[in-house]
Amino acid sequence: MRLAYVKGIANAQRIAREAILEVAHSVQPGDTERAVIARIETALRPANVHHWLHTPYAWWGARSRFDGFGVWECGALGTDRKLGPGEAFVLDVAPIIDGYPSDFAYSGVAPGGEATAHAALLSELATLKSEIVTWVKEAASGSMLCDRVRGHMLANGFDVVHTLYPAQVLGHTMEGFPNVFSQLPRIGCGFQLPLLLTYAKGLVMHHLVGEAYPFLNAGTPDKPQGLFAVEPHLGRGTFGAKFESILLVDGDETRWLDPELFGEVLG
Amino acid sequence: MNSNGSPRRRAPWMSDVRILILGIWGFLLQTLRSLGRKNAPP
Repeated sequence: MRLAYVKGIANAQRIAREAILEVAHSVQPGDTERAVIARIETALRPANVHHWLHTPYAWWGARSRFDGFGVWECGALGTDRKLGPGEAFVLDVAPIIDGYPSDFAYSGVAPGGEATAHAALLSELATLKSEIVTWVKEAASGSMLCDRVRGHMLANGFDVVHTLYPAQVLGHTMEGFPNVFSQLPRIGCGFQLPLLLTYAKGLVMHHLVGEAYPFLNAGTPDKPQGLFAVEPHLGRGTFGAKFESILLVDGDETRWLDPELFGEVLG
Repeated sequence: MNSNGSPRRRAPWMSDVRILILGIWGFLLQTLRSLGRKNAPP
């Protein structure tokens, strides 16, 4: 039963990753965020996606570190801003496939510029991805894991960007799907009802009956257990970068479903 | 209960009430905006 659930999430994550990477490799200077979002949706069409945690996001340049977002949910929506040569970008999508949620994000640089500064961000992300597997085992609570990730970013001269997300999350649970909210229809773009209602219910149930806290953030009281979408997001100068992958913390087994940075989902 | 049998600690409820209110508010604003012509789904 448990194995089937992990396999379902891995399959959904594999499809999300393939769609994002297909589009990421085609991104060119002059593309608008909205045009690339439409291309991600097209790439996901063969998977027959009808339900989402969130529809695709694309953030160019300074928007890749959430500068000037205001209300995050509105600021994060795609714009007609055009990507410049050598500019950093982030793509992020979370479709629900066969009832199983996914959430994958990729950070890249448009052709035609110097990528050295961006490479430093990717190097830090790769280090974090490697270390988080150890840190999550050592941490007495999700809060401590968040502190450690934040401390590592700051000590290495990066800005912490994931604390600008709603609920200031480093990550969120991927447990408890499918549920009564998974089949709710898409409304517009951005966060969707399955995400909003699943996590709202998670928060209420945490306080009413002591269920596991649904987020990894500075307030997470319990030791992480189960499947999480983890999304460290950092910035330096005028741009940011992130990865988003699924972390399995299950008894003695702690591992990424995709161990490499933006690498293949092994399941 | 935690996996080791100890009672699960709770997060501060005030911050989670804030998360809920801001989450619902942000979702409503985003939905109104994205249903406009500019951000309509393709």
